[in-house]
Amino acid sequence: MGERGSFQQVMRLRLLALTSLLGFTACGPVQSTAYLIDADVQLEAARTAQADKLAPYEWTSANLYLHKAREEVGYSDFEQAVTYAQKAAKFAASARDVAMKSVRKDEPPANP
Amino acid sequence: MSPRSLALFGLLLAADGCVSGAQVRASSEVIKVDLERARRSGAMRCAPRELATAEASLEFALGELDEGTSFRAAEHIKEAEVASKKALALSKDCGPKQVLVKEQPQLIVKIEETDKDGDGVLDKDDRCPTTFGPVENQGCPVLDRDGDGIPDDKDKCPDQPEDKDGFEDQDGCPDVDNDNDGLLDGADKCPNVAGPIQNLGCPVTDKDGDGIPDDKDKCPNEAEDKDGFQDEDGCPDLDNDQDGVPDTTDKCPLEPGPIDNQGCPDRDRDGDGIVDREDACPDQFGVREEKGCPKKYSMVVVTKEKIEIKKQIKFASGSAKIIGAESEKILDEVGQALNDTPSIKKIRIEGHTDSDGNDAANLTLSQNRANAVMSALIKRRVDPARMEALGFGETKPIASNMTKAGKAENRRTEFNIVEQ
Repeated sequence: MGERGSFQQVMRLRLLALTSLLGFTACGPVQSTAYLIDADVQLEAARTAQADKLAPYEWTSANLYLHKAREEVGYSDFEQAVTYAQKAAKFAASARDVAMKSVRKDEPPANP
Repeated sequence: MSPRSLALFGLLLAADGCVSGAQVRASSEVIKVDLERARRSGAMRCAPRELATAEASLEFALGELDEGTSFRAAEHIKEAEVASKKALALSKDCGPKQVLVKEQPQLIVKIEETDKDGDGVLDKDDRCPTTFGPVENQGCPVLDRDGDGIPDDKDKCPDQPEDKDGFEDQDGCPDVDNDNDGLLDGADKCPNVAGPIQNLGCPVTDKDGDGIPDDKDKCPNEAEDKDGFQDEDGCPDLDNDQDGVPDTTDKCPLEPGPIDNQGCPDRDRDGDGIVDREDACPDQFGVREEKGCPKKYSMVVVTKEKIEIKKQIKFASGSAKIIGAESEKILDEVGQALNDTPSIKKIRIEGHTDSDGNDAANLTLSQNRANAVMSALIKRRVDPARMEALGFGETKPIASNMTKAGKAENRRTEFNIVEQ
């Protein structure tokens, strides 16, 4: 009876450890993927504002950081991947803003 | 491979990694300086892509170093070096070719105006230059001693806080009795409308406008008619005498009377029990069969005061015995008249004599004769309770006892109505 009880306790502990391990390992990819998707969307939005022409510095930075983030995912360095994906998204948003401002500045004044 | 040569190879590899990390750090410092120069030269405008690539690659290199992967760091640092050099080269001629320097305006007089407390009032005009205060108060802070939110300069009662009850709250004075009706607002049910203390400070209302306040008006929604009848209760009295005839059409609004008599009580002047409006002879005692007129008798006439007889009842000399057929007929008609007229409740049969003879004897004789007449009427079915017999002797003559004719008139029997 005693041996059986201790066996069950050990199995429970193992199951808990396995679940925790799975949880920890799953957390990184899921989070980094979400940030990557967000950065991708931001970059696409910047493209529609012609940021590649009107905000080359920000556009280039955004692309480089996104590329690096993907690379870090490949190395399973999810923490670094998230950091770079966030920076990519930030640069993409900035690129869109700069491009939009540039377009507005070049627009002829509206007729009164 | 021998263990010795294997160890040597490992050491070489380790040395290669260490040198690479140190090189990367050294290179990164150089690149940072180059990038700073490029930025100042306008690389942001002339070589944005190169600048971005250099900066990003530098960051990646340092990141990789932190992670301990120096071989990847070296790759990034190479990219950063190449890009920074390109950025520097492209931004070399990036600055503006011509710079127009405008001539600075010459300062002739410098007037220094200071506002130390920053309240918008210059120190030279500020009575309180170090304390913030509005222009209206010459730069001094506005005081509010009683803390009621109304500045002292606008507060009529600067030491008494305004009660802020919605009534004259701008003057800064508390209004403890807004309506000045003598009742403090806290206890006043109508604090803004004056009213007596008996009515808890609310005005006495008179909804029906009859001049009687609602609190004393038994009918506050119906105006008193003020016709001189119970005008104090506030209720209209549309039929004062409550005879069913409205006062507007009632000729006698204070006396009940039938509608047939226009609300006035029926009169019966002759007291025959037949009201005047139905009485054909309102001033003559009568009977219903004759429509209020007296019944036609040949020997008697019924009036309001008496039953008059046209001829006297005759008695035997010195006696109470009634004699003669004519006397019987008179008694018949008197009896008939009494039976016909039940409204006559009581009559007094009076016996009178002339002055001949003894007074006392005359008195007795007259009493006996009155009794005799009463007996005769009882025989004619007249209720004895309706009669009384009284002899007066010679005390009440109606004519002179000096003449024969006068004496004859004084010897008489009278039927006076006592009650009806």
